[in-house]
Amino acid sequence: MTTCGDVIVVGRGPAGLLFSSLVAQNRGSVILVADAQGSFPLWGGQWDFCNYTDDGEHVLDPYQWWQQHPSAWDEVRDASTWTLRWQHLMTLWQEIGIPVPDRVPKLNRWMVTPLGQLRPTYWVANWHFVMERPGPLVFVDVPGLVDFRAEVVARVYTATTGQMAKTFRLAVPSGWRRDWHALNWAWFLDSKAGQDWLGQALRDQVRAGEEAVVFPQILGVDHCEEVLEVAQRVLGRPVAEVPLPPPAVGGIRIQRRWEYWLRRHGIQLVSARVTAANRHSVTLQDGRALAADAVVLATGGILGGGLEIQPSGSVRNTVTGAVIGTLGDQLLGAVGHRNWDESVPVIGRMIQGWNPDKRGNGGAMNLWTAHVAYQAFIGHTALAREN
Amino acid sequence: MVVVIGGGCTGLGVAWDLILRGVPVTVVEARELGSGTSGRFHGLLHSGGRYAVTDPVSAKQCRQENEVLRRIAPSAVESVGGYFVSVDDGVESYMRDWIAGTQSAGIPVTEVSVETAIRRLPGLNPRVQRAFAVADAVLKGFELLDLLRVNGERRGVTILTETRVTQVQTVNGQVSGISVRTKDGERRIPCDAVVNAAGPWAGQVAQLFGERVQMELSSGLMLIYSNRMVPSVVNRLAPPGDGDIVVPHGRTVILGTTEVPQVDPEPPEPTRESAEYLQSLGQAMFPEMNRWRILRAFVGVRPLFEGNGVVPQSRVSRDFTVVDHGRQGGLQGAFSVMGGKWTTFRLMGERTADVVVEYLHQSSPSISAHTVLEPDAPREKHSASSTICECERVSEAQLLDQMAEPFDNWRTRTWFAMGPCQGTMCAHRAVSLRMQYTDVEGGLDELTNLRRERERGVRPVAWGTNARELALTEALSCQTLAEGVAHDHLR
Ligand SMILES: Cc1cc2nc3c(=O)[nH]c(=O)nc-3n(C[C@H](O)[C@H](O)[C@H](O)COP(=O)(O)OP(=O)(O)OC[C@H]3O[C@@H](n4cnc5c(N)ncnc54)[C@H](O)[C@@H]3O)c2cc1C
Ligand SMILES: Cc1cc2nc3c(=O)[nH]c(=O)nc-3n(C[C@H](O)[C@H](O)[C@H](O)COP(=O)(O)OP(=O)(O)OC[C@H]3O[C@@H](n4cnc5c(N)ncnc54)[C@H](O)[C@@H]3O)c2cc1C
Repeated sequence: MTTCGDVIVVGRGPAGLLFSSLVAQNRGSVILVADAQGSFPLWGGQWDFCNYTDDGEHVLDPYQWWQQHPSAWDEVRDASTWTLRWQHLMTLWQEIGIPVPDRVPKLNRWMVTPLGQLRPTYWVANWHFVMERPGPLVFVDVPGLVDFRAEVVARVYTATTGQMAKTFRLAVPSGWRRDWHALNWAWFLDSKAGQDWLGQALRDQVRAGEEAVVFPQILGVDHCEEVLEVAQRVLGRPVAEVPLPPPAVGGIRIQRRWEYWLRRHGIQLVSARVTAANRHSVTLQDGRALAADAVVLATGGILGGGLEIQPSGSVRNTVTGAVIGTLGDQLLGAVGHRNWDESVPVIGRMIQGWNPDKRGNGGAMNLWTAHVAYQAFIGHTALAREN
Repeated sequence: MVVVIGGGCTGLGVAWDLILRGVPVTVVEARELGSGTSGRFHGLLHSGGRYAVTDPVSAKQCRQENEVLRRIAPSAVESVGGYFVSVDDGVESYMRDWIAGTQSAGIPVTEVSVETAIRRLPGLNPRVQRAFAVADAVLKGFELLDLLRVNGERRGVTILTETRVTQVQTVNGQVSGISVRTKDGERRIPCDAVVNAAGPWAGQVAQLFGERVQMELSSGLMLIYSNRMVPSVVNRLAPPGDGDIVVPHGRTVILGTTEVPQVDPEPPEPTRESAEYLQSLGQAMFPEMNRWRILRAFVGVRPLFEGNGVVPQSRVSRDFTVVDHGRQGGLQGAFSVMGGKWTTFRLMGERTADVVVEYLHQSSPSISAHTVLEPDAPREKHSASSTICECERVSEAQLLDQMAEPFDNWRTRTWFAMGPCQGTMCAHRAVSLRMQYTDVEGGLDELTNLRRERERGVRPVAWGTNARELALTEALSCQTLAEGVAHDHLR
């Protein structure tokens, strides 16, 4: 195994965490700097591969789609490289303690949205509800949860799939308040008392049937495996969740586990805003400067805060100050640098040409760009060492 | 019976004045009340100061109506006060004219010291030379429209929304009825007179009378900032121009406006260039304005009137015009009221009703200046109810109360999706609440329309934090909610 050098990663979103992990797995040292949590708490943590064609049609076989569609990234067409990278993510997540199956899927699967519609997705943790084809389901209504009305979800699901959908309403524990959102429920269910309560509450709902039971994503944060286990045992059938809008419990679970794993691997997390950078150092807002063999910006584009739009429409990199162009009529999530190897390398949402919102390829974007930057980085350190 | 075409402030003002005089009225509105210019204005109840030099008649009318509206509609007026501040060099002679103009129009003005102005108006350009306090106020347009609706209906006004007037029927050169189109088809409404109060569409409606009316339309852009950065109205003391008024409105402030001539009565889409231009003008008064958190841009169309083609019958001021088409040798019983402002809507209603009752051979005088518009009895509060829109604190119970309303009214009556996140976090919640009571397909379409409508105002001012917010909306609506995805093949 090669040992790589020191790197400063700016950004704690999926791209920054993955890149840092690659370096950590190869005994490099990482300083991870960010001024905020990144996007994980904003979404369920599913990694999309490619969901839609140019015309907005669903893609079922993303490997085939990438093979048939040229992109700015040459090797991106190669199915076996994709497979290797997804497999790496699989073993990494298993090591981190994010429960995933032992094989990477061959095709996209369907997930249900909080409004009961279906959309494809590719890589998800075991708690996340996915299916190969629509079948009958039971949706759970959670009192006070305005992001998920099981009755409406069920009606839309039936209208779009023609499949039966039932619902039942969860009771409320003592201490519950109407303003509880998904995280309040999840923290409560993490506790022993919460799990006991859930077991009891579900016992009243046990009915004959095989359909999977689908909850909104509230089943615990750090102990969600135990909560799911309780629900599955009592109900006697598969139980999984639909991810909700922020605060999104699924993404929070992943981020907590991932960052814990990174800390255990000696990675230093620094909370600060970066105001300047070059290839070997960054300046923090409080004036401190950090230096390393390399710097990588995983600063998340406009949404992540790595790019800033001026009133005139010009787009500026908040770290390097470089003006990278003018906003046209594209989705804001598609705005980014043309190349990853800029004056300071960029990964994740900092790069244009992927378009997670329109194409549903956000996971693939993070996976691919983190690996490309990592390959270059180890190539670079090897070269430096030879000289 | 009199038909009033147009459910903006002018049409409702005419109807209110007529019903108070005992004349039966039906208001016919093609879309919803306030969906024209009356729902897209700056929100200023003018003290008259703005027109003190350039338009003395209008200045005086504004001063009078300002007092009247405070009296008859206190719940729709917020007495925040206003300031005229001079931040430019070389306006001394205009300032002298302005002071003289306000005096002759009877507009109360109090000069305040520069220090006081800077203290009362945080962020004001420190180069301010002089400052004058006036009785500007905030006019809550949607609330006042609602007051007019409630009080009008209480006294017997019939209001038909989503009903478009398509024809005017005549017998012997006299108005005898109108044809209207609704989603259920066409029908006829007999009447004795028709008032065209169609705002920017007045030219089109006049054609139904067989008249040619030359409108001088112009559009105006406004920018909403998401915090109440200024407690009072602030006017730039200089000849009226673009970007020279800031109005606090609820938790926001609104900067306006521009004046771009146009032909189409429909407002054009706001553009980034014009938004940037407007903000740069606002910075003359508040230099840090480019750092305020911007929310959205919107455009209204001024229904100004040229006067070609017909000779105005009662040219009461440069600002509004009432035309009795019959007296001009045209259709008997057809009237048009054009121009004006929100501030003077009641006066426009009164003057229009004067000519209409004369035509109907009645003589009852106007009492609208002395009749208070009583708000609806407050709805009983539902005790326990979840919050759907956190920005504007709109609860599930409030939304349920107004559920029978068409979608856009539902929003403007409850104010959900109008705050800093512009519906990012609540649009799908509100829609799914609605879907619980309506059909599934319709609800998803409403969500798509709402997103589109919100984006139209946000996109031109997508900069700084607001751009991040829009990027979050896009990620949520495309990725988390997968809105607008077709599913036909799944069945
Ligand atoms: C609502 C939502 C739903 C999503 N749904 C899906 C989905 O269904 N499927 C999917 O595959 N993906 C989904 N995603 C993920 C999305 O597609 C992108 O892949 C992802 O957000 C990109 O992550 P990133 O690591 O590039 O940036 P981010 O996660 O945005 O991280 C940016 C990081 O950079 C830091 N930063 C920025 N500027 C500075 C600075 N100057 N100084 C210091 N730190 C800085 C920020 O603090 C943050 O930590 C979703 C994202 C969102 C927001
Ligand atoms: C940018 C801007 C800022 C302004 N700021 C202020 C301010 O701060 N203070 C102030 O006092 N004034 C202000 N004004 C002026 C004021 O808003 C307008 O004068 C006033 O709203 C006009 O109202 P209206 O009822 O005449 O027209 P509208 O409100 O446009 O009403 C006309 C109605 O007629 C309907 N209609 C059209 N055709 C038909 C048909 N065939 N059948 C049925 N219905 C039809 C339309 O749907 C519409 O609802 C502003 C104007 C603009 C443009």
